[in-house]
Amino acid sequence: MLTREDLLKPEHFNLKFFKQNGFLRQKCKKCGNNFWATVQQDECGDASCVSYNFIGSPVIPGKLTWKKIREKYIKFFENNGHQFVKRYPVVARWKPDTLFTGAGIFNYMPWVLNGSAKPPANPALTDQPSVRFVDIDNVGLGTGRHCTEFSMLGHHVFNSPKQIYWKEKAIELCHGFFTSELKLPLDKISFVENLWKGGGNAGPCFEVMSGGNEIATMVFMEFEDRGGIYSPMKMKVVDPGYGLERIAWASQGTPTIYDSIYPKVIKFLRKEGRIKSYNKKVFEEFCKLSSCMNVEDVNVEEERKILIDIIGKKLGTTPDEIMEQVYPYHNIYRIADHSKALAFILGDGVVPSNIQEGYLARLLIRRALHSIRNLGMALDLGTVVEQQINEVKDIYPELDEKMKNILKMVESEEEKYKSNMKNASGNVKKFQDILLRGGKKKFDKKSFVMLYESYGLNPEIVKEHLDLPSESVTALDIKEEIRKNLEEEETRKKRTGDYQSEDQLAFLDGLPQTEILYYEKEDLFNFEARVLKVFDNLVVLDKSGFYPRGGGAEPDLGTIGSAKVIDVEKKGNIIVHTIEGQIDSVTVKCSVDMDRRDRIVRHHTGAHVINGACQRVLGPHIWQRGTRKGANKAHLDVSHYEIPSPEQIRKIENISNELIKKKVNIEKKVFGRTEAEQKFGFRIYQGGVVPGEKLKIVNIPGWDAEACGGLHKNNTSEVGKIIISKIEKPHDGVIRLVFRAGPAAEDWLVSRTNILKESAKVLGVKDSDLPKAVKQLLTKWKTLRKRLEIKNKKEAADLAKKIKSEKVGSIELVVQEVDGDMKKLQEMSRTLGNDNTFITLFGIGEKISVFCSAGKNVNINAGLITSKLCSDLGGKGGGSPTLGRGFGVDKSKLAKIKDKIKKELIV
Amino acid sequence: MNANDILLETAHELGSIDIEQLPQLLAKFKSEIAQMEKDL
Repeated sequence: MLTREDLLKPEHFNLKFFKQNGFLRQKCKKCGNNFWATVQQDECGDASCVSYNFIGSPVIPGKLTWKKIREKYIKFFENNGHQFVKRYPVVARWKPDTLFTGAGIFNYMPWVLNGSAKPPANPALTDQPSVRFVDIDNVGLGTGRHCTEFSMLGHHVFNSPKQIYWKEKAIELCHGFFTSELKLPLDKISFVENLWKGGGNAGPCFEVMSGGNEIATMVFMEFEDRGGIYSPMKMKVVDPGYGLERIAWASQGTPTIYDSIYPKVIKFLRKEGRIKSYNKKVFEEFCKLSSCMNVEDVNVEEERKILIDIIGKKLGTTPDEIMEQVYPYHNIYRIADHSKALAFILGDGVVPSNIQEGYLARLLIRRALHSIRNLGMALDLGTVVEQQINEVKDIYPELDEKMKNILKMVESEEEKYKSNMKNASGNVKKFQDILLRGGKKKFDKKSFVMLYESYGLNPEIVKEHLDLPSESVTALDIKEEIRKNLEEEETRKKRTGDYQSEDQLAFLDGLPQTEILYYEKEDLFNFEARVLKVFDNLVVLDKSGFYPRGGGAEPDLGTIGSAKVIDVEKKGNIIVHTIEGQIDSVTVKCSVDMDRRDRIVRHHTGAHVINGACQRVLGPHIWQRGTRKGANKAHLDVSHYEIPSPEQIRKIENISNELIKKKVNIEKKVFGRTEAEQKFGFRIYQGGVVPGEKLKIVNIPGWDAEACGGLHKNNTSEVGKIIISKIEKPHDGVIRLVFRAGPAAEDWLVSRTNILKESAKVLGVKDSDLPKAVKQLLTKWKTLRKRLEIKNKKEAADLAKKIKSEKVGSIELVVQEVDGDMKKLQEMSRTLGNDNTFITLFGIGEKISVFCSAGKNVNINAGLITSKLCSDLGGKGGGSPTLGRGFGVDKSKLAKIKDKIKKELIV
Repeated sequence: MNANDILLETAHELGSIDIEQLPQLLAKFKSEIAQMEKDL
């Protein structure tokens, strides 16, 4: 067992390569870290120790673009025996603990690193677009170097069982790439010793620095990290991360990284925003010094203020003058950065929503729109996203192929944002008033979350409209809060659901794993088994052909001996049957309900068919978000940004049924994880992360391939006709397609036919004429209702005219009992009322309707009087000082109460 | 058009309704019409 100090010992960093190439081991006078450089220097070269000294004087010659650097990188490493691996999606669907691919090594976590999967190449050369939200507040004029999406170049080596190469060769290659291929001068590079930790692994690392810019990190992952205690890993991994954009920045020497990676987009935004050119001296000074901003522990806004003060004093300008220069650029950098990240995130299948990765996509869209609003630009965000895709489409053509779809999602979100912004002020004030009434003096996190969930207002916008002081809350805090709420909701559901108690689960201790029969022999419906244990109504057998509840599928039912099986669940490797009845022998005959199994399997296979159809009709962003397959109906939830049109639904249904008619054979095969990913792509993870070394792939060739442990038909024709019966929206950004297949669809059609016939019979029309007849019926009903209303109004007015008021002081008092309902009383009051009247009307029907109104010169509270009257009549009522409504039930008291009103008012 | 299509079109005329309840809903409309005709 080793500690952090052990891992930082010199033996981990003393490389022959450094000694043979004139590097000296030195200690940074600012941060105290050890580093290697070919010249004596005081600082290690980290951004927090030196300002960006390459701005205006680039360290890598040739003003290379990121595309040129990428090309050189791939060529250099291919010439050195590396094999290029196609990029993985930025949404880490294979990784159970993260939403986005945050680094090149994520591609191999956890499955390659834990030995469950083979690496796709070894050594593997990658250019991995990565997404990090942790630095989002630094984007723009924060540090000038952080991007939400960036390309991490890597040459990963997995040294197990064979040793490919380790530290010496890795550093030699890294140094060769920078100094020979890119011609970075030897005295402009330093290697800072450090310790890297992440995802349960750790190892020594060298941070490769040049002019205050960390251009690469060379991690040598060789330890498992158990809470700060380290033990050697079986596999030693070289995990390099070269910041492609940072290297381009070092070669171009522009004020910020954004100016060097998408200059055309920045130019376009400057023009659209009519942003003036900056004062070069002030701006570059700001950008150089922004390297030292402490980005991890403090508020970026506060840091920026401190920086502005320093620069102001140095250059003799005021903070306001500096802010005037930098603020517009802060916004355009943010718009450009977020647009590029959105191109990848939406292109790789995220639909903006209120949860998980969808929340973060929405967050980016709203931040970018907020920046557009800050600059007063008349610009659609989609235009910028389109430009960013055009900038990268020669390298990532898949984004161009999905352009239309990406832009549609941005447009849809932009419309929601505009609508939310219109009502932002009113909605914030409303929440503020509620807090004030509750005696709160501060706008709290809970209110921020509620405003986001109810009206899509992020904290930045809310703070603009607040009068109250507020808690310090960021958009990421809100995401965390929403995640916690969802988790609590899940836990609550589980607690109230039909789950076995801990006692019941303890009875499984010591039992062997159940032999599973349903995979090998899918048509085995009758079998004999030995009873291993019975506890209450739970039974464990030595083998089972009952498919358990799981993956959204309902369980098989049937019989065990004379007992009825009413549920089946898998607990670890043991299948637990819940029964009704008694088990009366050690060896039991078991029978699975064939018809039920057949219906569930048709629905399960049908869900795959519909998923493929949705991708074709609605777009490539379609991803399964949940599913349920029962015997009588099923549903498939998919990510989508709007309710599909009836035409789209019909098309999904039609092409699903066409595929069924084509009688396509369904392949069900087991693959190694990497082989499956390479053969079918990452769409196999439709049902989420699938654990284990091997994946069972259910492939409908040319249509849909998914890693799925469920039972499926062998040919699409065995699914039977599919009917999509309903569309629902269970969550924001998700639609639910309720469907039925085969006999369930037929049963449902019969029931629909019965409803149709019954409905047509009620109206005495032919089935096919029902819609027309209903339209006529409705028109007639509306016309008659209107006529009746006019008639009732007239009658009420005529009746009112006959009623005389009684003068009580300055009040004209009306107390009257009539036959009729509240509507009639209201109509009467319109005729009777003036500024001096106090009207009390009682409408006699099944109940007593009570109505009071007070004219503006009458100082009697109508609401209070109504409340009292209704209460005296055994009912309920209330209202405002001028108008009261309610009801009573005890008609025997009415005469007495009418008298009482007059007396009380006269007094 | 199959039965479901006809029912969906019918439901569309009536706004958001539970199709299972359609016969009862139509009967209610009919009886209300009869009552209104009487009242008029």
